[in-house]
Amino acid sequence: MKASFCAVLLLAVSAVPALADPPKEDVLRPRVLGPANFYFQLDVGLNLNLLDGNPYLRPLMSYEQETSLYNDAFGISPLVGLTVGYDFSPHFSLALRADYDPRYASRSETVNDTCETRDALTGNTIRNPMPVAKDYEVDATYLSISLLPAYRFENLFIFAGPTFSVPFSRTIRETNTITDDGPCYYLAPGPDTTRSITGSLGGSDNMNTRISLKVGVGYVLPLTSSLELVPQLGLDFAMNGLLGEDEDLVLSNAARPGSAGISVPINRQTIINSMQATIGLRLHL
Amino acid sequence: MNRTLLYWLVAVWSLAPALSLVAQPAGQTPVKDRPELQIAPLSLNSSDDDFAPVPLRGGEMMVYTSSTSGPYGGSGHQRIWMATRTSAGWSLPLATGEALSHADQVGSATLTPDGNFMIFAAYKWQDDSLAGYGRTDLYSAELVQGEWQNIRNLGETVNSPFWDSQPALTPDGRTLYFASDRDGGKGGTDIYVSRRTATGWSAAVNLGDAINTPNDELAPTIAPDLKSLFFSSKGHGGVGGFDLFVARGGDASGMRWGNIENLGTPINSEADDYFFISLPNSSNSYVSSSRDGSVDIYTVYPNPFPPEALVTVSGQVIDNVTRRPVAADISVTDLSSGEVVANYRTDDRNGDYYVVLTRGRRYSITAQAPDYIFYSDEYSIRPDAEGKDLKKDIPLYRTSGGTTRLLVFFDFDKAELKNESRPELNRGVEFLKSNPGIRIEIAGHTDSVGDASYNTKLSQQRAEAVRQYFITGGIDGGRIQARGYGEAQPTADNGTEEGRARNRRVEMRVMDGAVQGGTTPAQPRR
Repeated sequence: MKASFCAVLLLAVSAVPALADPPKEDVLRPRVLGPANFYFQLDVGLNLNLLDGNPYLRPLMSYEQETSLYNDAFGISPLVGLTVGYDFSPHFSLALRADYDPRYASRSETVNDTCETRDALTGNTIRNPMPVAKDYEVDATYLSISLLPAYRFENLFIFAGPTFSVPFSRTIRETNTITDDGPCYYLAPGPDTTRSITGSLGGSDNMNTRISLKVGVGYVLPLTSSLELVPQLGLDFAMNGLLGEDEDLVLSNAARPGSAGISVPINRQTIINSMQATIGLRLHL
Repeated sequence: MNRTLLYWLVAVWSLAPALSLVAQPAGQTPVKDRPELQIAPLSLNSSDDDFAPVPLRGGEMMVYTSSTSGPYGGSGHQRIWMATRTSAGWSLPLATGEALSHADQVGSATLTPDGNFMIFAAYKWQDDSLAGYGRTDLYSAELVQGEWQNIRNLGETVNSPFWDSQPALTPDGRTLYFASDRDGGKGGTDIYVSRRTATGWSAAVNLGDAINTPNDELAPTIAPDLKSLFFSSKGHGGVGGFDLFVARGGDASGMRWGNIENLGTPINSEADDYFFISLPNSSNSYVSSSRDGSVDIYTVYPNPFPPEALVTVSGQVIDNVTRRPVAADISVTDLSSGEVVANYRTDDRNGDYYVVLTRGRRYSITAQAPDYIFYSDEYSIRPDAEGKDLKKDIPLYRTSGGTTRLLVFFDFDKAELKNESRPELNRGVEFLKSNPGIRIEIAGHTDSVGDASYNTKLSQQRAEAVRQYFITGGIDGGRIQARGYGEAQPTADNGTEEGRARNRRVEMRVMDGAVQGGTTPAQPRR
């Protein structure tokens, strides 16, 4: 509901420049509405991704050290887009943009968790510090469709508009490795004395269609009368979470697939915001 | 559904486009093929839009609009350009002055034949004082010392909050046609007309159903003989896009056009065709068309709609003593009606003037300038006159001690002023009113035919008639002497008819000294 409201609001805001800026005209034509106002643009660039666990990608288990490890992560992924745009006037244009839009973020850190062992002689519980190297990554791939009104000041332009991202795939992977030679094992007591557990989630069933607001700035460098080079820098703010529902990630011994594991919940409200840096070739018909 | 019926529906649906090409809908003009015409693009065309040509000086110069990149605007910004015809073709086009570049779009100009006054369209001036009445508006500008200056909005009688563009001025500068998409029209863009008044321009009037349709009409141009109005339309049928049409007739108000005719192929194409321009006394004509992509200017030869032959008069207004050019106002007067039919200005850099005269009328062309005495010449253009381009320099005397031959007319052997003398006499009255400190002599002269004393008497009577007219016009008689010199002061050979005609004259001479006197008897010299 909230996402729908935001989308409607964004569309309404997007329409304001169109009302404020009358259609382009010249001394030959009262309305310049022709193929010359259409343009196509091919963009390539990078997504600079920032994961926001909101508050955590997953909540901490009782034995884990308090840390912001799961609250943010960073990653870089490629971005390829194709835009069809229309110049309504020298200042106002509207672009429909489709992007191959992978979002990848990861983080690695060593934290001091605690494991409990029992003193065989006294039967007392011993709280052992347990240095653990933790690695996780979130990789979500979308086809993003953006509707981007733009306002141009000579060569500089700004744009803002809604983006709808249809999920293709995702991978959420985590590996925890106890790095010392202490008495702790992840799946003990029992036969599995592994010091390293890993798990991943795939598929796209539980992924939300991502709704986001894209704002940015660009610059038009004319190359020929119909071809322009267009570097752009944009920010993409998600309005909803990565997943439809909370999901469990099972961490287990990679050498024993199907063995027992530790289940950690993945927060559905996890989001990945991106700074998008692209350079495009714009061809006017 | 019955299968046979379905087949018929599909067949009719499929054939409908083809049938629509063959059948000529009612109210739409037929298209004539003119295979004899040659159409060629001008060498001055750019890769961007080039259109609305305005040939000047018999086609030796061309003012036109282009959206090509130039010193006063990048590609996509329409600007007014000018090129000159040389032996090798068109010169490298030059963008017009910087003063005309301070708007998003400027162009579609129309100029008086002398090239010194222009009306053009502009969209989004940077200068708020020229912001206008809404979207694209019409503006005027004057060529002063080679620069376009005095840019003015034509006002709310012409412009509207809507798109007003593509002006077409009649050669006399008195009637303005233009296109507008304002409310209250016949639909789309329509063609309107406005007349020059003493205070500006009259309220624009829609040309009506004969020209305008529920579809778009654009790009009006008026033939040099004022008898044909060309325009582009999507509403009168044709071969595709905007087609060019000609309407004939027209009255003094610029209305009542009819008898619409499609200009035919190859002038019209499946693309958009605009701005058909006829040149006076030439077989050349021009058209703007997007048939090859961007809009370009093409020559059409020979002109299938040639205007009636015209007489053009051009030359220089010069100081009679120094021989230097003088910036002067040029007025053209119909001597029969006494109406000033056109006002022009010389090019104030070189004194050049250029006047177009239509057939079947008697005109005077008068040059006037501050601190100079006016000078007029008569041009009588027969109804069957052939087109020709006359060259005539006009010498002006400075007011102090100067003289001018008055263009006054008498019947043979009579001293009563004919009606066609009134425009010149009225100019004389105005001259004396605006120079209250001067005295003049009205000097009558005859040729050598007849008795000398009779000629002296006749010339005295004629000079006196002029003096009386001035007095009736409100001039103090004490400022005017009338003298008849008879045949005593010839300026040309009395042995030829041309010479005798030049010797029969009345002159106005500015005298030195204070205002005094009255009629002085003639003192004939033998």
